[in-house]
Amino acid sequence: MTDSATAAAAGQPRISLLRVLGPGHVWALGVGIVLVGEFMGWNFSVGKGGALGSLIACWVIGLLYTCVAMIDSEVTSTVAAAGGQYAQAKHIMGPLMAFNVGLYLVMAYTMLEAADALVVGDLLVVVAEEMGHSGLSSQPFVVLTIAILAWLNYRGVFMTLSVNFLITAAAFLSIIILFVGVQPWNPGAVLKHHELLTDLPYGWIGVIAAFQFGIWYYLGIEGTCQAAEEVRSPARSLPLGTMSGIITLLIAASLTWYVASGLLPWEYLGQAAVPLYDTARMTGSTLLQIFLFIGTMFAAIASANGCINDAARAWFSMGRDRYMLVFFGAVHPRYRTPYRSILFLIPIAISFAFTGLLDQVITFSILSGLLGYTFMPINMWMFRRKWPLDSIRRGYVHPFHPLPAIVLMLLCITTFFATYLGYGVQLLAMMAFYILASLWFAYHRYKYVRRGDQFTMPWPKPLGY
Amino acid sequence: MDFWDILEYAAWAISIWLLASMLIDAYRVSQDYSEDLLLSSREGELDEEDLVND
Repeated sequence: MTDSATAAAAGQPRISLLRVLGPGHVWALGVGIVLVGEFMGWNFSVGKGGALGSLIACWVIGLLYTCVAMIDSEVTSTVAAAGGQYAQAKHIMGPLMAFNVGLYLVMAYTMLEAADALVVGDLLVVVAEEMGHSGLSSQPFVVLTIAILAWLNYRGVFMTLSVNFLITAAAFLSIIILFVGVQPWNPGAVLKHHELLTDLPYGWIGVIAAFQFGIWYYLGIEGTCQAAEEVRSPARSLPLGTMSGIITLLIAASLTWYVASGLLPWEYLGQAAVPLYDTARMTGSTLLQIFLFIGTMFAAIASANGCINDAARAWFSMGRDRYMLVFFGAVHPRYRTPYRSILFLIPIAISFAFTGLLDQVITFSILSGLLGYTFMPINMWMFRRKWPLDSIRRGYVHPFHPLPAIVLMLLCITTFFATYLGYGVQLLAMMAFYILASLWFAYHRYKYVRRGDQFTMPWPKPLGY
Repeated sequence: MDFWDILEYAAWAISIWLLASMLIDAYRVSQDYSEDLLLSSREGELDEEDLVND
């Protein structure tokens, strides 16, 4: 009998994460993490492949993420655990894959959080300079952003994601307002696509290279899974929140590309730090500028907020399973949050942010996410093979299997190639890191893991076992 | 010293206060509750009667 069963049988009290979230919170978590990518980062795809190359990347990568959302929704609707993809891998593929996926999640979200905090700091520096104060340091505002959001996460998930819903909705609304403000029904009045759009400046290899930054439109939507242990109805809320989230992002990404490419020449757009804010400046409207400044700030804050939430839950889940120090598997008795994991990741995020290397931090976040997406089609294929559709109840069944898994794998391979074109050294460094971490886990850490406690889902034996 | 200088110092002060308050709270929780209870959560569904009420 496992320790958990012994404790339950003895009637010992236990504390758990609190089931308080609804589909709106799941949407806020997923879209909140991602939407900042519409305000900054996606435009580097224009630098790689031109404006039209960026549009191709937007929709091809949108297809990748639609497959991610569909696949994830099915598996997550049956795995009601805070570890998300980590818990999925643990049950379907095994402990070593689970350890790697857990690390992908923690690294991707912590680095994205650092990048978001950098954006907030840099925006304030820009505002200070426009108001006549030069030499403002961004560091105190980077630390303040992380400290406030960590404190919010520490105090409770309901308030954290309710706040995220409001600021994410406001950020999305700012994109809609900008779209309306450029009068899309009157081509040429504001938008100058006929003047600014060019042929592919680097040909089709440039389009492939653009895929890497096309990811920035959507990176993080899979983060909805980390809410699985805190939603009132996992089978319903997670697929609903995730699928509505990816639809929101497809709309936001398309609108973002359309307005930015219609006002900024691709040579400038491809290296701009805040492309949507710059687009608003080009309209000459102070009101639009203010809206987009607020939208950019809100998007960065919402993203950091969601990242703290998700990175902490992945680390917490690994601690609870003894893949990391069991110390991190603690739940706060009053606030019902993974408080030790939240605290532990604060200095790590601040350290990444203090490097000031926004593009490097973003690249490592993208790479970690990409590794996670490569795992997903394999995971899906094994899930359906071991537990066919009639063997366990699923809250959502994605259509056309195995087509989404095949498409996802092909797109991941293409995007790895795209990343290698521009960031080969970083890609190899990241692979070396995960290989070394895997060796540490396999030869040192795994002996502390209670193997009998790992499989927690009420599933029958897998087919063939 | 202008508005932005004051804002910088305020940002550091608020950050230190928030981080310290979380650390102090985490320490107090460790003192007031047993490690077994704090580490008692389990993956998967839980029975309501097993949950600790505040």
